[in-house]
Amino acid sequence: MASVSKPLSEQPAREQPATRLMKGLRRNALPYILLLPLVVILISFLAIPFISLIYYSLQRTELGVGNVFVGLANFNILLHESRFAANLTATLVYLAGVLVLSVPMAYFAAVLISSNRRGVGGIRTIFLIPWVLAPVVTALLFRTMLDPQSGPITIAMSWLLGHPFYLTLSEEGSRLLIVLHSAWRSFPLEMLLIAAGITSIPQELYEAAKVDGAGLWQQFRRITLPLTRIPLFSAVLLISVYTVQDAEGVYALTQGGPGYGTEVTGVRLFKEAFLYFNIGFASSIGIALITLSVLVIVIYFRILGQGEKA
Amino acid sequence: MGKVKVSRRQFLQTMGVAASGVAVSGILAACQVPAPPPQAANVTSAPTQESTTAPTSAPAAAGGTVKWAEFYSLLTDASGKLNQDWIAGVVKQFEDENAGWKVEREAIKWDQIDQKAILDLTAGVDHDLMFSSPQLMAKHLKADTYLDLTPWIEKMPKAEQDDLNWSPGWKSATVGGKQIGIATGVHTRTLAYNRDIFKAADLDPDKPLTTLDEMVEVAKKTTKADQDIWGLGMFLGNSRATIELYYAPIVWSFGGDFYDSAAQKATLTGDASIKAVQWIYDLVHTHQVTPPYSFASDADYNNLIMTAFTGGKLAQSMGYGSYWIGAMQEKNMTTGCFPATAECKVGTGGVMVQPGAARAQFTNAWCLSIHKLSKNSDAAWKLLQTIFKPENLRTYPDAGLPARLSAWESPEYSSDFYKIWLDAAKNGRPMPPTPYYPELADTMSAAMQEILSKKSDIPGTLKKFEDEWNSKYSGQ
Repeated sequence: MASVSKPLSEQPAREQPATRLMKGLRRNALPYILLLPLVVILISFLAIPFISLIYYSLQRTELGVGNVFVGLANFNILLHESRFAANLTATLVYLAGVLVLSVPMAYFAAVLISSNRRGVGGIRTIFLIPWVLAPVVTALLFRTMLDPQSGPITIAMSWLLGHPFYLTLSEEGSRLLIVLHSAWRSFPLEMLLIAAGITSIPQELYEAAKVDGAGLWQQFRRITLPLTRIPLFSAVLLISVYTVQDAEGVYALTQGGPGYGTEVTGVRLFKEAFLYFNIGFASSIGIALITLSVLVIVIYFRILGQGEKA
Repeated sequence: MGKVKVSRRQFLQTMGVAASGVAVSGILAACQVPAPPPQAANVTSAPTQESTTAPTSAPAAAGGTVKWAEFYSLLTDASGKLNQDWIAGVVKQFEDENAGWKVEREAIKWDQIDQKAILDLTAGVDHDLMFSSPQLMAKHLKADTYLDLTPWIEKMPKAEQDDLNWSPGWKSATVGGKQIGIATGVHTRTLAYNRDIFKAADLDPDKPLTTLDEMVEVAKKTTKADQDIWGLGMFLGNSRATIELYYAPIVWSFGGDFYDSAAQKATLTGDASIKAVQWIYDLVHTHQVTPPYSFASDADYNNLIMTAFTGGKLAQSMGYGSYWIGAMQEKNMTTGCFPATAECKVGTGGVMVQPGAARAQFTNAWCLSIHKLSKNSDAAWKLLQTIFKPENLRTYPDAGLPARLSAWESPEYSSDFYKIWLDAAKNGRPMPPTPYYPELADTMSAAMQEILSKKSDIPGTLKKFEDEWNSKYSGQ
């Protein structure tokens, strides 16, 4: 069919893009207006604090004296400070220790609470107690048990070993203490996430595996473990970010000592910001901490991505 | 009148716009730069001849409210009933004596009151009278938190001034040529010792030790580690007590210091400092006369020093505070000494001035200061004078030992026991006048812990920590 075009004079005048946009906006204004409060809230609670953090990291701040712009001086001090290197080392050792201890513990507990055995409901509740208690409370509990003079664990271990036992005299012992405490606190959340994954696995798969002669270990290795990879990943990611940023549990247990042996980055940030009020310097530590958390997230997603490709 | 129809769409649009407007205006209001605080000079100028009369005169204005920031409220110090009652009594006395004036008590936790004073100065929030920490006076001077009390003090009779200005607590509030606080009492420390343990080891409990070497020898003779009885109790954990009560007195005894006030830098690697740390190290690791758990990262100062001593586990307890005199009496180690009476007698528990060349221990006390933004500084000074009346200071439970020298001449402080405490107080020293004292104390505490836990090289470790502090704070 031949196209019949109208003469130009009869065609409606072409709208300017800006006019079209305004018309479009007017026509679809409602969704934007409804979204606006959320956007404002997000900007207020995420963007502004983050920009503020960056701003303060470039200042030398002093309580009652004011701020002075110092450029990257705070970062320069951090990068050349042996204490900050010790903070990062302590953080990574802490993270590795918590994951190594808590993940197997959580997996075992998740398998247990996912079964239909009697008494599982009670066990599930008991397992959740460490997670619902405040870190400061559990830290005080640990301190009481390990008190060098009257702690029941100290007394029992001294009796068993035949010589005095004081866990927190060394850097290694103190690190073990904070790892034990955090792993004990973290495993219930990991357990819940993994258990949710386990319960979503169709029973038919296990039945088919049994028919094929697969034992319990093979069922776990070939069915449970691969199909709970995503919840396991989520659990590890959540606990890693939480552990990297942890300050209150560690501070309540050891205050970062002995020396700077357990002064993880979160504890250092807490001291600089809230004990010394060096907000500028603390902000630069905050940026380092965010970078570390993002790094952990990126590494995990890469590992997960590679696993999926394989 | 016809009905105006509003569609659901129009209603939602209007509400959306209104909500956005409220949110944006709220954020803008929150982000608005606060109005600057009124110029301090306009609010509270130094007292003048007209505004400040003799100490016993009434406040200049006809009446008003004096704000007193303290930490004995039920909200902040639930166990401090005695202090709460005392404050209520002093407030009533002030209000009775100054018609038209009321005192408004502001409850702030004791370990936040100094920061609050500085933060509120920045925020333009005024206070009148405030408790203040002597260790933080250099910080307050830098932040200009408190008024210089000198013009008021100069109007006090000379005898009255001398009665108060003798103590280290007073001196620690003398900074930069200003007097920004007045000590309400004396908290000092001695070497407490168990006379029974001394006698059992054939040591004369009536012969005071005079040198650090004697302390070590006594500790060696009295330690029975298998029974958890130790010759010399110290606390070397994560706390300012480590620098204040153990490291500093030993450095002073070796004739040095750990802070150079003129150059404003830490001198942790000075000879005296290295000797002091070595001395402490030897007690723990070489002679093994101090409990190994003294430097545990979760060690507790009260347990290690006070409870262990009153429980008969320590032959000598270094840094034994005057606030623990009552604890000795509770365990029948003394009689009639708490509260102080003329009949005070020592039993198992004795005290001596810290042995060593300096014979000095850290001594402090809560001070009272007037906030820079005070709108009633004359009335605040008047309230301070009411508090400092001899009969009021004597009954202030948290004062520790008397701030007034004349009070020490009263019969209840005439015993040998209290003469030793007075000697200790007179020899007492404050912490260094740096605005970054908390950072210095924590740095030294961490250095001590690293040396003791890793048995690391003393000069090298001290150098590392000295450099860390000086790189950030020296010269300021």
